[in-house]
Amino acid sequence: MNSLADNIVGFIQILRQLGVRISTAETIDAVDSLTIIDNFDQDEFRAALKSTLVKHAEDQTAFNQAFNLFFVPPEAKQEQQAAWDSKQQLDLEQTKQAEEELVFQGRPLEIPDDLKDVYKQLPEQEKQRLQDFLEKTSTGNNVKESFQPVVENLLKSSLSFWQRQLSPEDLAQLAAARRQLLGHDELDHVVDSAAGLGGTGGNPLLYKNMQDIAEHEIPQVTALIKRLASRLTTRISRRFRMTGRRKLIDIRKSIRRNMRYGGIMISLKYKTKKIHKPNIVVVCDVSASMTKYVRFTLPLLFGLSSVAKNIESFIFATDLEKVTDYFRYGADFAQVTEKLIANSSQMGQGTNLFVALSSLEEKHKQLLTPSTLLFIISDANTLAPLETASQLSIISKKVKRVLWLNTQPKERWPQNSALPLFAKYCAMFECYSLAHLTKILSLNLTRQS
Amino acid sequence: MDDQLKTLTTAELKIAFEAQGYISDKELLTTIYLALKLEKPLLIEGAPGVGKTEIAKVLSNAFNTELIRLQCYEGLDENKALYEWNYQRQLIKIQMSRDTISQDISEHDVFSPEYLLERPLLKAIRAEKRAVLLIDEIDKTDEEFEAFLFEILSDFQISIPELGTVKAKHIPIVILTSNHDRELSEGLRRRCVYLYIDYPSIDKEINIIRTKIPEATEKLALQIATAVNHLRHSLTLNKQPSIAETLDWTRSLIAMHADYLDSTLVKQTMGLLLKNRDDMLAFQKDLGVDGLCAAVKQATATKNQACLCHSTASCEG
Repeated sequence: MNSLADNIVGFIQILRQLGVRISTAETIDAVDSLTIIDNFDQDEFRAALKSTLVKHAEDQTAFNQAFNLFFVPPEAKQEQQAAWDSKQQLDLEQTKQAEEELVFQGRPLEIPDDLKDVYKQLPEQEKQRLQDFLEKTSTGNNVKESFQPVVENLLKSSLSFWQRQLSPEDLAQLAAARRQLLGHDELDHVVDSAAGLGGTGGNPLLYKNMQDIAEHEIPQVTALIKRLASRLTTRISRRFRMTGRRKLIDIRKSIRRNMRYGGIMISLKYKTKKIHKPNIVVVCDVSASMTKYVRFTLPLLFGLSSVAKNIESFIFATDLEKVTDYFRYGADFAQVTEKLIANSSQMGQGTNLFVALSSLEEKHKQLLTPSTLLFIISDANTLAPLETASQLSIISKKVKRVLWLNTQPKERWPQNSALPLFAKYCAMFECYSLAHLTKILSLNLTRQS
Repeated sequence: MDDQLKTLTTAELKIAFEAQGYISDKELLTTIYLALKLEKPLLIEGAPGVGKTEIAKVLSNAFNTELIRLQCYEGLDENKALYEWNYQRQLIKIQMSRDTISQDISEHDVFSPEYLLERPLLKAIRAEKRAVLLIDEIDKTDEEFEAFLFEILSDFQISIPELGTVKAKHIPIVILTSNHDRELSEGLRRRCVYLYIDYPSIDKEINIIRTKIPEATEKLALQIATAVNHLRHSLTLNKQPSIAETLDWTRSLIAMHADYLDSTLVKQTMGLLLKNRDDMLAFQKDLGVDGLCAAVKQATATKNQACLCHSTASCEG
């Protein structure tokens, strides 16, 4: 890391590790820009790299963090290096200790690395409980070597349980810890520190997990969702497809218009395709497993209903319940929520999406048209997953698109075996924060990806 | 102008921007400078009303060149952006040739440049002097048009089947703006130098007010900038007040002979800042005129105390 070019390449590697997409063309632009500006002026140097490498506003915080950590005087770099070395050492010791503790009859157990990381994070009391279990099993009567796979499975189940208890933030931290490092200490410590500082920025509420939303934050969440939902209505008012590069000539009107010029087509009349506004149907899960997200889902229903006219809202748990009338324009959110919770029979019940979708298809079939966008807001934990998938398949053929906003973090999706079945018939998005919702609504949702 | 660009320095660019009354910082100036030097389009993102479009106007004035504007909207196509044949004029020409026996015309006669209706993109490419091409609100167009656009921005040449390829005489200074209503394609972003403009800090906004409206006193500018900043940060509004709205508010307060903010004036003029029923309700419910005035008084008092530490000059709140 002696030359400027080495440093720039190293810095770009760091940014890529932090999730910033940088192409080779942009790398060349960055190097070109440095030949133009005064390299000794740090502000100019920063601005040159920023404007050529970072092309999304949301990546700017990651850039700033990485820049502040990477382009530092040599003394500061040495200090960072020492801190990184000691952190690596600690991590190595913890891994070694975990490997020593997770043994059966003196032999190490085959546990995946991600579960080992979960073990390292456990409270001491829980670690001791697992160690006691392993020791007792190892020394039990007639316990043979062949018993090891059973013990491994039991331990994996237990650690998977603890993994499910982790918050999305902890999961993200674990994922960051398992991130493939660049193999260069000087770069790796910047990636690690910048990721730890968080590359989000902006309104912290945007990145907050919606299950942790406080009561006093609900008005803010509702307002933000309303602002986001208005983007959706702008988006959906666009045509489904281009009508062609040129407008179509309206022959009949053109001939009539040009009769006055002796039939010479001087003034052409055009026609355009009518703009279709898709209908929106929202089906929101309010079962027991989703109650922690109710501070997100209800404002979302409220926000969508406030800005879109042709929207039908439903909630479901064990069956479907239409709630469109609660969300009339101009209604007060607090009153709506109070009324809904008092009158609804679905809140906090078990989940059967199959029944809900069947009811939707049977009782509200007029809503399922080729211009309908069907939103399902759910964590996808439902009874009868096979039947649900088949019902989803039927409905997906009737509507424009099925969009599933899943409140479960993506890391947990592999644990739900039904998800691949559902994903065949819908576009599924991770959506447990307003940042996710922002990203989803900036996509062209009416277009099949 | 080409020579002017070749020898341009950041210091000169700063002077040019100041002369146009555009308050800038080093990051903004360096980014614009790079876009000019690298001859790459400049993509500017930010909330509405933070001064994105203004940059193109300032550049056009600074370089004394034409500003060609392409306002994007849903359904914009090549005909509106690039060129169209003047169909009516072609018809008249054909009709006239029929009436005159001696005049026999060929296809080339009616598909010549004089029958071409230039639209902004072609106009910028054929301009005799390097022009500033402003492609405003690119996020309002369809993806198809965006793809077509970044092809043009790569080569700066257009193929007209009847005429052949038209190559740019001078690569125009291209400014694209977006309010981030829709995610732009990676291809377009990759080809551009990127600038994000956020709402200004209180000090920067005071500077803007004082530059644009010299009649505003220092005290009024401070109170206005503080009030607007407080509205942006303490309330969750559907539409946050922009710099343009801050300036409108200032002008209206000056028209009402105000030297400082008071609750009656704020109440009468709030419609210039908040232009949405829900925002107005949220303001009345969560902050109110008195709440805003109290917040401004408190913030300016703190600032004045800091001022007094540095000088004995009067800056009472």
